[in-house]
Order: sequence, then structure tokens, then C-alpha cells
Amino acid sequence: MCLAIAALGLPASACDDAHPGDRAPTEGGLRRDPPLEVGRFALPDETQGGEPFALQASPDGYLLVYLGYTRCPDLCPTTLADVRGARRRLGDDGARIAVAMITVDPERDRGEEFAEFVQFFAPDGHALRTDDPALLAEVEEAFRARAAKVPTGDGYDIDHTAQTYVVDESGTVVLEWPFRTYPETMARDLRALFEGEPVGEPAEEDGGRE
Amino acid sequence: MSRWVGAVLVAALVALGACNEDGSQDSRSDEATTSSATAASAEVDVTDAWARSTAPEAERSAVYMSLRSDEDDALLEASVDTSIAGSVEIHETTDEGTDSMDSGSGSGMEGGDGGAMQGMREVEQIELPGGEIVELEPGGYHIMLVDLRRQLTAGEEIEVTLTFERAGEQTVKTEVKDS
Repeated sequence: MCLAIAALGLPASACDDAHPGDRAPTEGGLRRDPPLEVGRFALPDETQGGEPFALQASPDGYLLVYLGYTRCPDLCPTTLADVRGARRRLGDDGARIAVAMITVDPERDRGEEFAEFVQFFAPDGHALRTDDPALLAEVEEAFRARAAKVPTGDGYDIDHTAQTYVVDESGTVVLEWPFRTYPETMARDLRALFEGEPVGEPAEEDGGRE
Repeated sequence: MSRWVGAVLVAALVALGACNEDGSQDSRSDEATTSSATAASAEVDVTDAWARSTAPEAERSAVYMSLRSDEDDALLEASVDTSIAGSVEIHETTDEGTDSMDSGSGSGMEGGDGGAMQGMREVEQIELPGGEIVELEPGGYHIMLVDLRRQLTAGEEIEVTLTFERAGEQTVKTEVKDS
């Protein structure tokens, strides 16, 4: 079914299911031209008692940023687990990759609990949260990400874009991985970035990924 | 129709020669009982059931598996012991996102846009067309454990009870895994 179609490298739109999980194992990152710039933002880091953390990688490394929320049972843990898998595959180079999750649910994701969630997937990860809705909206816009509350019987869930962004030391998003990019593919892309090799496909204007 | 009547009909069909793939006849047709543990209609094959491990205070998790039924059936609900989760729902993650946003454009990026909005919706049931494998997998259908009462640790095993429209209840040993 869909996995078979995806494995053939055909576009996910060839699938009749509307599931975002159907990437082929080798489908890698996408890059924008001009790239997104997010380095001007610094958000409180709940793993550091709220100290601001700037959206920039360390020199010679990359920062992987994901926007999501902790009550998300499928998209978010899956992506964070994929990121964890990618870092493991890099061996020693895994230490050059930092991880930050920005919560799109600051009302419920906070403090030590939020920090623990992120650090479950990345022990040195950053749990970024802002109380300021305008700032959060600005950050989402800078990533071209979106999030929206969806009421449920006993509260709400959040629909959101589920890209993982690869940010360099100047705060430039050099690559984006759509949801369900395989860990081995993330690792492949990161190795290419370390080597200074070309990586990623251009994002399409018409909304398709090719 | 009552399960008993259904069982008799299935037994009759099997007797008429509806065989399993390997040519054998399903001897379970003889067990025409009303016990929910040994449903007389064909069992659903459940394979590769796994639950995602969780952070210590996580409130939710997901269970995934492959399902295959010889006959048309449907997964109606799932449950776990209340020491694990307060409730269990069946959900589907989709690309459709919320109506209020510019969504439904498929995965990938649009000019200036950051990818499709993705979200999940509770579903009443998951259809299992006879003979087809239906996957519950990341990004698709999943059984959602809500109001987790404790952390799920990789390597442990939990039990998930599935209720199918025709096959009745089946309890599945589910391994907790990191991915």
C-alpha cells in the first residue's frame, strides 16, 4: 500500500491515504532559497531554569529544532525518536548535534516536566518555552511553521506542521526534514553537511516535494 | 446478530470449503462457543505490536501493530489495565490539519509555507478488509494511551485488549520500544 508506493520513490500524493508517514527511506532534507533565518531569537530554556537559549548552533555543529507539544502521542515522540536515532548513528559526531524543542503548547508544557520530556529523547536537549504569545507567533512565522488548537472532549489537541529544522551557527536554517524522515537519512544528510557536500533538494513552489 | 448465530454461519461456511491459505481447514470452527476469548469467527492476525516508551511524566503514548483478518472486520476499541492508562482511544494522524488553516496541500513545502499541518483525529473504528494488512504505524493509525499512569520503559511488555466487530476480543502482548 502506501509504504510500497513510497518505497518506489513515488510522491506521497500517489497514495490514497492522507497519512504524513509515507516517506521513502532515502528521502532527505529540503532547502529553501533564500534560507530562513532564526538566529535572532532566544527563548527561555526550561532545562536551564529559564535562561535564554539562542537558536544558533555551536561552531562546527548544528542545532536541530522541532516545534511540537508533549501531549502529542504520535508525531512528536516519533520525530524526537528519529532525531535520537540519527545522532546515535553519527557516533562521536553526534555530540556536534544539539537538539531543541520549542513547545507550541506553552500553557501545558512547562518547567521540569517539559525539560524531562525533551531530555528523554536528548539528554542534553533544550526545552524552549515562551509565555509570550506574540513572540511564539513570531518564532513560528520565522520557521514558516503553524500550530492551531483543536478542541476535544476534555481539552484540546494541537495541529501543527511537523518539520525538523537544521540550524547552523549563524542561525540559518540550512535544511528541513519533513515528518518521518528516517534516522539513517537524517544521519546521511548531517554527514554531508559536515563534509561540506551538497545536500537536500530545493523546496518546490507548488507545494509538492519531489 | 448474536455471536452464536454468527458462529454457526461461519462454521457452515468453513464446512463448505472456505480454507486457509495453506489449504487446511480452520479447526477453530468447531469451537462454537460464546466465550469471548475464543471467538468462533476467524481471529485477526495481530503482529509486531509495540508501544512507544515515554518520558517520566508523559501523559500519552501510542501503540502500533499490523492487523490482518481473513474476513471483513473492524477494530472497534482497545483497552489496557488502568494501572497503565486511564483511557484508550483510536486515532488517525492525517495531513489534513485544521480547516481554518491553509492545509490539505499535501506534505512538502509551498512557497513561503512550512509544510502541511498535521494532526490527529479520533476514529470510530478501523476497517479491516478481508485479506488485507492494515498498519497502525507512526504517522497513521495508532492506538492512543491517554492519561498514562506510569512511565513505559523500553523492554517491558504490556497487554492491550483489542475488540473487533466480528472476531471479538483478543489480548495482545505488546512490547515497549524506543522506536
